[in-house]
Amino acid sequence: MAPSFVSIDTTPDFDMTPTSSKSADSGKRTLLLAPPSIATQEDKLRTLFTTYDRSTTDLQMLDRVSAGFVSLPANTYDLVLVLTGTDGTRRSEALQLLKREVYAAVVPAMKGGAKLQTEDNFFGEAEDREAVLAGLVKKETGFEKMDVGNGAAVPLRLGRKKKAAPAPAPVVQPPPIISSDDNDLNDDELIDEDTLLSADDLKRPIVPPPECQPKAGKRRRACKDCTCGLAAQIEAEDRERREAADKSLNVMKLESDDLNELDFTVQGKTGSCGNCALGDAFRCDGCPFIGLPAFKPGQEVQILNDVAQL
Amino acid sequence: MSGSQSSGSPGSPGPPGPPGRSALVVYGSETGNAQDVAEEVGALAERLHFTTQISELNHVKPESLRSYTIVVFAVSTTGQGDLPANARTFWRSLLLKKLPPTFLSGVRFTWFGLGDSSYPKFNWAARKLYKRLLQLGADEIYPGGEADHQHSSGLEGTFIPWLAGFRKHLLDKYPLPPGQDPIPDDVQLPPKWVLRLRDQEAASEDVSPPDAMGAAVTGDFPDSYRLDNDHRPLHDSLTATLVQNKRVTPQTHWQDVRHLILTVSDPISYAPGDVLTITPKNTAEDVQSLIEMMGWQEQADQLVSLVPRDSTRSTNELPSPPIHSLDSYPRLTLRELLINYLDIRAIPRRSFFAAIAHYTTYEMHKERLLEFTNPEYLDEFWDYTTRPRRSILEILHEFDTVKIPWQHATSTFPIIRARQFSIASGGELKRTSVGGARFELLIAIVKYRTVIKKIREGVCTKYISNLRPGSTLKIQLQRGGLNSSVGQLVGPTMLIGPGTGVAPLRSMLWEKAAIVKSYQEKNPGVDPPIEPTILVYGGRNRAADFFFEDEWQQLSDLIKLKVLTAFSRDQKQKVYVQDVIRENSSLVFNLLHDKGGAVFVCGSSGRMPQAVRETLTEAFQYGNDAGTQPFSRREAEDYLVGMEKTGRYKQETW
Repeated sequence: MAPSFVSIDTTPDFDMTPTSSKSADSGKRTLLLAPPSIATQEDKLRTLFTTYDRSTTDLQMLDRVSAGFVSLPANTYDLVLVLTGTDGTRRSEALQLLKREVYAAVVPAMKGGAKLQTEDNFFGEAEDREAVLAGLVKKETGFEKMDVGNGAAVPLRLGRKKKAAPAPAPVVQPPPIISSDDNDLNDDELIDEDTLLSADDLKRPIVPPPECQPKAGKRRRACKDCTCGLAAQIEAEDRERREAADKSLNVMKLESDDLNELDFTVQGKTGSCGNCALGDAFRCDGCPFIGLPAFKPGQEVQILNDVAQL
Repeated sequence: MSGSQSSGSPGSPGPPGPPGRSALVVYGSETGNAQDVAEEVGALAERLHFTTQISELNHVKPESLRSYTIVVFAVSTTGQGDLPANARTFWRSLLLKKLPPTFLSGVRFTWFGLGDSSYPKFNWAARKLYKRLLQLGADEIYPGGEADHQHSSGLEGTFIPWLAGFRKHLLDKYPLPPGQDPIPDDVQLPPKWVLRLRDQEAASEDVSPPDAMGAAVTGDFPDSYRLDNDHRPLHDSLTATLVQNKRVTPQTHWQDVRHLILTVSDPISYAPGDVLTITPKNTAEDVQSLIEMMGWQEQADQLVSLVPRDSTRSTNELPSPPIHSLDSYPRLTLRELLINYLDIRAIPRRSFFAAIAHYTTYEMHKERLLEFTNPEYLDEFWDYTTRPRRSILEILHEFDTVKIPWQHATSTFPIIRARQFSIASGGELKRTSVGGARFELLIAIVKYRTVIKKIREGVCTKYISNLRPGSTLKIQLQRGGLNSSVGQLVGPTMLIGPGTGVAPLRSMLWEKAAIVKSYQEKNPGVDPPIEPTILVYGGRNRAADFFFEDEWQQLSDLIKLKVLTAFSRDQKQKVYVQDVIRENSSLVFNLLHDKGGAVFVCGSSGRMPQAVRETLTEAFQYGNDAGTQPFSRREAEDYLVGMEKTGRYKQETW
């Protein structure tokens, strides 16, 4: 529980957004989509920009694109390359982040005929599906955005942007906010609360540690999710107790489905402790009246359908 | 009560600046437990002569924390390790990136978390809050504590020792001046808010509540079903009309499960996993019985209002009233207040016994009541209250010498809280034909036996079970924890929800169907891009509790749905959802691992989600029949944790 003293850096963690779109129509433009781990490897980045000309290449972090923090220029790129590593070292990290939200942001930024590729030329089943859903066409190496005009791709619009086309049934709308959640704070301005806790916190023991062991002389209780059978045992005890109590009452001619009367002032029909009439709070463990309401000595008790009527 | 000027500091009505000895106890509470904890901490501070404020977190500003000698946070965890709704505004304001690390320096705090260790993100809300408070420069002056619902003594098991330690710490660090003693436990702390009779003449001008007769729905209902209208000005609530209250299990089945349909005139939208809250009411019979027991017949039908007991206190010092916006309740009588707001059927906490012990002069009763408040008698307290599920009303029947002054009703009884129900409707079921919103719920009516002879009934489900269609209810819509993205909805999914746990999953299935249908409309003839879904359902008997069986048939072609069932009592050997998952481990492996699918587990908390988790881990270990290298146990566990981290394993249990 060492206090982790973290100052908050408000600058974007990796800002290489297109400095301007001046060269947007001069030469081929490339968009590199990087998994966040690459940011820690400066040399890797430098090598990248020897391959891809910095002036015509933009780099974006997949997680930021996926979270909607990045707005990409429309109809700009000829190639979108996902940095999975040529040997696929970052494949799982990158592909995990290559979600629908990414396609939604990236596909409009691709020119007609532009290509989407991964460094190691791998697309899994999930990526294939998402790419097709986003209106791309599968090619030998990756996907291509169809040129508008000859055969339009049919992007599956699943809500999100509901401006055009009066949809007959709005399928997905932003979840309602009726709870007190709606302050005006933009998610952008907030730290990610999930970063506050680490995997170690998952394993952190409960403080103070639970004292599951029964104390001497105390009755043992079952945990809420008891698996050891104690809960069943206690339940059985309760049932037994109830049945025993029922039985003792019956000895006193109190059939549960009869309308019987019982005069507690009569000798021998009240518990020897004299506390029975006071209710469960005062009754002893084996009291035959357990579970019945308190009563006044002399009061008539009727038991009707198992329920005492006082 | 010489020592009772504790909180008022009557001699010096100076400005509200940082007083020498003040405490703020703030809570984020979903079901009321954290609030109870806060109130108990608050009472303790008050007895140690701290000027004490108790408030929900959303009602305080982070900037104000510094002005108290000590701040105590009591926070429960909901959803996927989230803070409760009534703490989230505060929480978000603490998450601002621009806050400097000195933002909260000078704040002295401790904290108490309430969680359930059957959830992997046990007590995360409190832990996150704790970390963030430290990041912002606040000082933890006393180590926080954590309670676990799964603990064998419940929350009290850890709360009581923690509280005792905290009390000692306060007395050590903030000693009382010579001659002043803590207010003893047997001296009542005067309530901050009390009921007063209103001037009946003037009040008669109030508008009377609208006629209870709404659109009466005809139909065959038992006499116990009543048409009821809800006039409560509940926070952020919608008025919903009940259009269906149908029992879906056979009369002969042990359990009564209802399929409810509610409509709202506004076009409210919602998503799978979202939750509807319903705030129950007491029955007129229960309230009448309480009124008679307490001897309140004379005041019962007079108009009342809730006012500060000590009107000379500045509003800054005045804690917020126990019930909000009560002023706008039309013609509030004591009886209406009891029916609509006070939880007389609650299982009481220890503090209730402490409170009512002041209201009897019969030594035998008083002594016993105080015993129940003593931590040493925790077992007896538990055996008397929680174990048999004994209600306040029954306890008052037993301790019949207790006469609560009606003026103190709101400070003695807990306030009725809202209960959450997962919404079972999705897709086209979400809208009415006239553009309003439509909600379906699947609710098991709670009835069971304990050692008490009278059958136990759930307060809220009893209220619901007797509502006749046409009745109105005040409902609140809350965002749920499932947060299924559209990608997940069309992707491969494994839905696990036995019993009424199937409700939020049904919402997802209808949502999937709506996506497919709308795609088909736009792209006729094209195969809809939907991946397979496996629904794993469990119940007792196929004949009795296979909810929505017909719908699954109807949906199966549209959304590639495969339903696996486990009916525990249909054969000699009991079969549960986890057994069905185990039988289909290669199918599971293919869907979740190869296809990258997502898992949603819904239903009762405790054993089921744990068993499912274990079986899924095994499926990752042994389900790979593609011949590639199998996962080790460790790798399988890690894979599951990875799914959780990326939002591909979600659990919503209750």
